[in-house]
Amino acid sequence: MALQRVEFIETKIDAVRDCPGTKNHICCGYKTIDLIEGCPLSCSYCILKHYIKSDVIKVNRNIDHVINQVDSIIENDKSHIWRFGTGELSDSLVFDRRYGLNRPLIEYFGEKKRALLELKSKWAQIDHLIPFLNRFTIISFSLSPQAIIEKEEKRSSPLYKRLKAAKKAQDRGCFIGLHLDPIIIYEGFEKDYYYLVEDIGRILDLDRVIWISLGLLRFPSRMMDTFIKEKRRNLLYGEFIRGEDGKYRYLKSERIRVYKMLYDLLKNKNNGLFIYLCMERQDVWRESIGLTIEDTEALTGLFDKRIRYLYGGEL
Amino acid sequence: MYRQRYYFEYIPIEDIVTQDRTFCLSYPLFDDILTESIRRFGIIQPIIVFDSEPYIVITGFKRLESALSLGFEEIPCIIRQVGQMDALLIAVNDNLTRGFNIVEKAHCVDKMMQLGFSMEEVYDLMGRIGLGRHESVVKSLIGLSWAETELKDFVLRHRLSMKNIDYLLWFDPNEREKIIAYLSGISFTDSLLREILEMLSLTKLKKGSLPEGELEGAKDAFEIRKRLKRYVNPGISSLDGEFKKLKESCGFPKNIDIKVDPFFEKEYIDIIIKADSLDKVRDGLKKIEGAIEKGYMEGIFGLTKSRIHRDED
Repeated sequence: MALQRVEFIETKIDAVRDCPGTKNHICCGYKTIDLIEGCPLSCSYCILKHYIKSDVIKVNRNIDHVINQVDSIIENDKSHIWRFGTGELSDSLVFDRRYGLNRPLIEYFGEKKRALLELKSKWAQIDHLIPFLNRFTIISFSLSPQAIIEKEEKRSSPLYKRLKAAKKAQDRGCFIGLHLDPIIIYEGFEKDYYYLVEDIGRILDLDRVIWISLGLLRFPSRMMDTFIKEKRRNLLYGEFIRGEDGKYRYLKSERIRVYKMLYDLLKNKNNGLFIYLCMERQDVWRESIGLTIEDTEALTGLFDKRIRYLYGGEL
Repeated sequence: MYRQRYYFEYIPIEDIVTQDRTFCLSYPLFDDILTESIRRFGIIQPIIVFDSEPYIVITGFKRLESALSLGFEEIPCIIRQVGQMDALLIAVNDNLTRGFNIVEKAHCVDKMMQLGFSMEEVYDLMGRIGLGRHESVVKSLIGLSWAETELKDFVLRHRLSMKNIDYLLWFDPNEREKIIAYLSGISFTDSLLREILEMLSLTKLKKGSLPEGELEGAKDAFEIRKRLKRYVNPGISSLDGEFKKLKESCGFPKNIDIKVDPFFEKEYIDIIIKADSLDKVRDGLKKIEGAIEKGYMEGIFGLTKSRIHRDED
């Protein structure tokens, strides 16, 4: 696990893209902002290592150019309330205290009041951002049972710190997002996820959770060799198949079972929660949470509805 | 480039440390064709030894081995005064044109590392002998260089890819010995072996040991793969079994077939009617209608839509 070097770049390439999605699976219509390329957290299951074959983490300092691109999308396409996030090619918060990358974006979205910025992280440092947060920034945390954090997300913040940071953002008036992704099937995982949901319900104000995503572990085929080589017993415990997009996924019946279990646990805590599946098939949506989602457009529509419900006329 | 004139002389084999393999890259050491050639024509090209007492071989281990087996008492040698690193470079370059097998490549890299060559020098050689310049490749090659002869022989006999060598090195020597013993008598392609080794590794990780029962008595590699699939993918195997039962219950003639996604991921199914007349099409549709009425088709959709677990819940 080598430490990577950080390099600053000033680039004018397109940093704002549609989330790449995956073949024959429903995507949520997210827009990604590639502010940083590479992540020092090095979670064992992370696919970034396989896509970005570099020891250098590139940080784009041309924020004005990035903001111009975001603005152009918001102005030119008013069909949806766009959600932007910086957590696709890196962790949104891990470098933030040191380099202050998010503040101009937070301020832009706060002034624009037309779209949402999601900062998705496993790094629980948000104190430096608290004074600048506004309702148009969603602080989101990826959550896993502490047993998985200790073994597979070794460099990231412990669960209780992530939940405490999320609560701080709620107390500041922000909505927060939660991402149970990747959900890992390992020996006794049901019990650990039960307690994870208990912790979420105990620590957070569930009325101020804008969305929760559920996504079971999936990975490109070449990562199977890495997991075997590194003897990742937790990651390989379940039964995998090759999906239509070529990625390894858990068997469909298992995915449905686990999604249904977590959906029910979360809904039992608060029936108003907006829960979506990340990169799943239409039939899995239907069988696990009873929703018929035709395509990405339909799911994006559900997000619009959710945001309008929470923000009223503000957006 | 430098030029130097070297002379050779015949040295008694007893003055050479034949067991010192510090610079030996060749594998396997004994070569029937070479031995036969030496028996008929003698050693045409002298071996190179260190100017030491007793002499240590730098290059020519195979020729020496053949000479020993033929009972030669002396052997033509060029005596060189060089450092250890230069000696290894002589050994490498002396063999470079004939081409190295993968075990010999592993020996080259391992010995360069042992003698303290820089990573850049090691990578440079790796590039020249057709290896990927990567730390993980170096690690695998060192593993192969130190591995037991059974593995080295197996690797060479089946011309295994680096990927499969990696898989075999992943197991401990006892497990490797068992796997090699099971696979020795059967033929397989590199990709089939990869599937088998991947499933064996997965089983080892999940259960803590090899599924030896699944390997015993298998008549070929395909049977091993089939048995392991059942073991590693119990869910898929069970769905597949259910599907076959339902398909059988449909009682379709040979010109009608139903196909599902092998991983039961896609929810749709393919129904195929092979027909060369309208009557056969009508007959086929009638039979499908019958299977629908009896609920078999619904059962098949239950499998592709994964409704079994939900109903049990």
